[in-house]
Amino acid sequence: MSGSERRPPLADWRRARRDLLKSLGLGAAALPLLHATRSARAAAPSPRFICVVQSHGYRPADWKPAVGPLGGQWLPSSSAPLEPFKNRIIFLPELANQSYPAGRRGHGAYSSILYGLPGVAGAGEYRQPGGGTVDQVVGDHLAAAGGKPSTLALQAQVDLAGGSETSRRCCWRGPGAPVTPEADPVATYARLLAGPGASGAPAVAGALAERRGVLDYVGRSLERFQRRLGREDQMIIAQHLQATRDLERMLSPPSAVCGAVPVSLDALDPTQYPRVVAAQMALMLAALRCGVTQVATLQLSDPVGARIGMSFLPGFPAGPASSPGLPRTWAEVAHQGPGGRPELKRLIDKWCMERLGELLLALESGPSVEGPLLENTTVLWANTMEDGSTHDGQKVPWILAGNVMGFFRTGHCAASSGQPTSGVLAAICAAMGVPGAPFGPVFGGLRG
Amino acid sequence: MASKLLLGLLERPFAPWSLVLLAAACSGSPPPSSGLGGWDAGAAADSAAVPVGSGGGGAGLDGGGALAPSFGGWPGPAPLRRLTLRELRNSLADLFGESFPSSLFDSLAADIKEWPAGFDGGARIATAVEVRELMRLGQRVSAAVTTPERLPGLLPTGCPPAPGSPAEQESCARGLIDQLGLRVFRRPLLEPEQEDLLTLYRRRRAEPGADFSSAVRVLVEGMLQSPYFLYRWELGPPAITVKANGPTLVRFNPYELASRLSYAFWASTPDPQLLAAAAADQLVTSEQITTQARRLLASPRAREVIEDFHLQWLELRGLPDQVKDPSFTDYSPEVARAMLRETTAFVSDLYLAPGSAGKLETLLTSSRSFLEPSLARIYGVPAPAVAGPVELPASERAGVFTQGSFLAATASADIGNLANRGNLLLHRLLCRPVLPPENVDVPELVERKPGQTVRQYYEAAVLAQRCAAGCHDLYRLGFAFESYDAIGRHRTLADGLPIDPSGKLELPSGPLEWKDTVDLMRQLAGRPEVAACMTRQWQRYLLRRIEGPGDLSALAAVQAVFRDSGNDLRELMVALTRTAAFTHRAPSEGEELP
Repeated sequence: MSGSERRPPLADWRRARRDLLKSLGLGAAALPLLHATRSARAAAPSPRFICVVQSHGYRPADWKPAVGPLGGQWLPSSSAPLEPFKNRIIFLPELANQSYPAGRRGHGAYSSILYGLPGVAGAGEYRQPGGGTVDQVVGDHLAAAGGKPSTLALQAQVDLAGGSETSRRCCWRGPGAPVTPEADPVATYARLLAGPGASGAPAVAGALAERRGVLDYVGRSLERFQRRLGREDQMIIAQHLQATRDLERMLSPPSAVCGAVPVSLDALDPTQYPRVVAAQMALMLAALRCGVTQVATLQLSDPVGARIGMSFLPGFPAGPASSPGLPRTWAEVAHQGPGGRPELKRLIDKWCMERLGELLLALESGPSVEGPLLENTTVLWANTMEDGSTHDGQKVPWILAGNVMGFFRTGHCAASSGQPTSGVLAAICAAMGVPGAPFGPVFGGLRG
Repeated sequence: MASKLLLGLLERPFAPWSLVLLAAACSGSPPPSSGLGGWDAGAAADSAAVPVGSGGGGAGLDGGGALAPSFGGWPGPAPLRRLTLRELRNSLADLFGESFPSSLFDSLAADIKEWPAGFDGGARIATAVEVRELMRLGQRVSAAVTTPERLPGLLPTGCPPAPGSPAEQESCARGLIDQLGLRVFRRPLLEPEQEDLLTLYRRRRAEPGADFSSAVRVLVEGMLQSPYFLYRWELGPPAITVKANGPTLVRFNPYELASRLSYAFWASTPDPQLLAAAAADQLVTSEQITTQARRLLASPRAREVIEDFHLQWLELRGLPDQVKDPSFTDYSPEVARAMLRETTAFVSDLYLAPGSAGKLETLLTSSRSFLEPSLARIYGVPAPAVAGPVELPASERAGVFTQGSFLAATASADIGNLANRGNLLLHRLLCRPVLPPENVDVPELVERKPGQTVRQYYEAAVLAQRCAAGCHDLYRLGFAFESYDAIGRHRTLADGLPIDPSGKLELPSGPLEWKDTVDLMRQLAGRPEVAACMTRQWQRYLLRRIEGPGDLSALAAVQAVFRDSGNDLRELMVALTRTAAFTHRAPSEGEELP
């Protein structure tokens, strides 16, 4: 039989462009499952920019792929969640961060990480940018070009107390003008996006219902299956079940145009950290999807993450954050040297990459008012130091995702060692069509 | 001695079983014959046999006639694992009579190599992305098999090609759940499972615009995403437990045994004959099981498993991706692929060709090659005029370990990498893993001096120093393979200096002394340690788990069968289906048994 060459027919639920356009905004993972195509887009899309900042680096050996194409290599363990997106991303290891004074070791790179150039005096080791950070530069340009008028800055930290304003901000209009991020995703969602829901076109809604029906069946099967197993095997199935429920949730809010965040959530409760991150990411996506903004930033924590307990991660010591004798917070684990608990840091690093993977999945999958988001979106996943155990803020690992209609040559690990971060920021501005951006020469290794 | 031996055996925590083995050793069950530290127990236990015959294992299972395996023991738990990509692809092809494009499987989560067994297990599904890819696979396959042209062929017996009334349609859906469900779940469905699937069908059927075919498509899609399809083992009716003279064990039911046989020999879902045998309760006795094993092994479909085992065993699959120094102009990725084809043709011929004796000795000493023209220069022989087996120079080649695939795969880009080759031999042929040193300060190696051979260099730099257990032996074996360069060409000089491939090694069965690589392989082929290790490697592959102390008596019995057959590898594979490890499992920790 020549079945190996046979292509399966298109499913009969492939929907008309009109239906899709009427249903824009339905659940994040819906469209690829509906075989959405570029022809479903209404018009030439506007570029969008997402910037996520995290601290404490990664264990390089477990995160950094070999320089060159990603297609011919397996990603290291911490980066493994990005395997499905290898052709959509560029690894940028060991970028030179000129905004942080040479010879320093610490958290100070945090405040000027999105500026990339030598800044001005701030608070202690934390320097202020000498001008607007890349998100503000891009946002201003897009607003002037007829885009949406604002950027949306979010922060998923739960330890809002302590530290100076300078140290806790990544986004700046200019020196002395930090942008205060939204810390409460529920309140922000209500302010920006809440409103009467819109149901999708019947055909698309039916297809989504079909997907959810199958996932619901799979979930119940997994639950029944799980009950018969031993403890270790139950954990395997529990992961499968959780992942199934996650996908189900992405397909879930058929009545919400833009996606939703939880109806209630205490953003200041340290035990809620993963939920806060998830809600902030959902909010960011909803805002982009529904055209509230074209630029969104998210800080995954403050510079230190001293109160963010990571015990929600399987394999972490259980118990409250900052318990004596056991590293349980992001900061405690990251600060440990080679004699510490590298396996715990790997778990954190991998968790962060899973978040990036989920973000890319949602961008790749979900429609927006102007079409699938990832096609015209750049995601910068920035880090403020090489590795928590070194606190080297001059040598930083970043990831760029999305090729912005072919502007970037994705699918490789760039030879970026020693290249200035400002070159990456300049390249992002170029991709967004910003003329005369203040970040200097473009890093040419990123172009398509 | 027993406790010292146990420490060597425990490649993972397995405390209850160590006590079991200790008890067995004290109660007259066959103890391993040697207490040599560092050697896998099976390698040392070559001559320890237990009585063969129903219930003859004498190690925990009652002698209840038909229900007991030939070779007893107390096997460990069976690992739950997702189907490997190979198993998934083959299962779908067998279920629907169609090979689906490999691109459908490219984005699925990759298989995980199960350590320390060293062979592929299935992936873990832990993220929404992985579930989404499984969903896409299910969608594509179900859409392909429920087209208007194909739907009538999918429907159960007695169902019209286009069922008309809703009642008739639902009746057909019920029949499909029973008939296709049996093949997808590899066992009859339980009532709640039937109801769940029927609910899935009904919900879709009731949606506006949905028709019978779309509801069947969703039904098939659900089955293909079910854990009962994706995961092994086949969780059907409550487990059957056996408790006699030892810890409780769970006996695999006939359907589970059908799957174990089918995935072991064909890497696919059970065929109708196996399912019929299970339904008729004819997969119970050792004789019934081995009859099916022989049937499966005699089929050309066993070729895939045989080839896959050897590619994984010798760690050859990455060869085409390896980069060699550009100075090797006879080498290219295409040559690498030809090397793999040579090895797979060689092992297939050994196991499956009519008249082949299937001997371990042939695997390790034959100079027969299925040479493609691009390999002729590697072997220094004329390109064959016609396709078919040829004999390579017998003074240079002896079995798979001297084939281009192994030699190139274990080499570095520019040199032979004797340490890697020696390590593979120790680990995969002698079951003697070299453990990483603990608290040993590994010194920087000094530069090699001009005029010093590689062997002289390592003898001075490594063998004169303290080393991890097995490390010196690793180099001693590696020296024998200095006769081959980084792409597998035979040579007598390296850097203009003569190569000395001779060596000595202490094995549990006695000292081994060889003059060159061919001599080494010929001697190893006759050593019981190698036969014992081969037994273990095949069991690890078939069961996808490392053996525990409770497996040792059965392994020893299998080794005896293997030996008595003249080391016939087919008999080894069949004998492994007669062990308690194949027919039973220990309950998993926390598992609730009825």
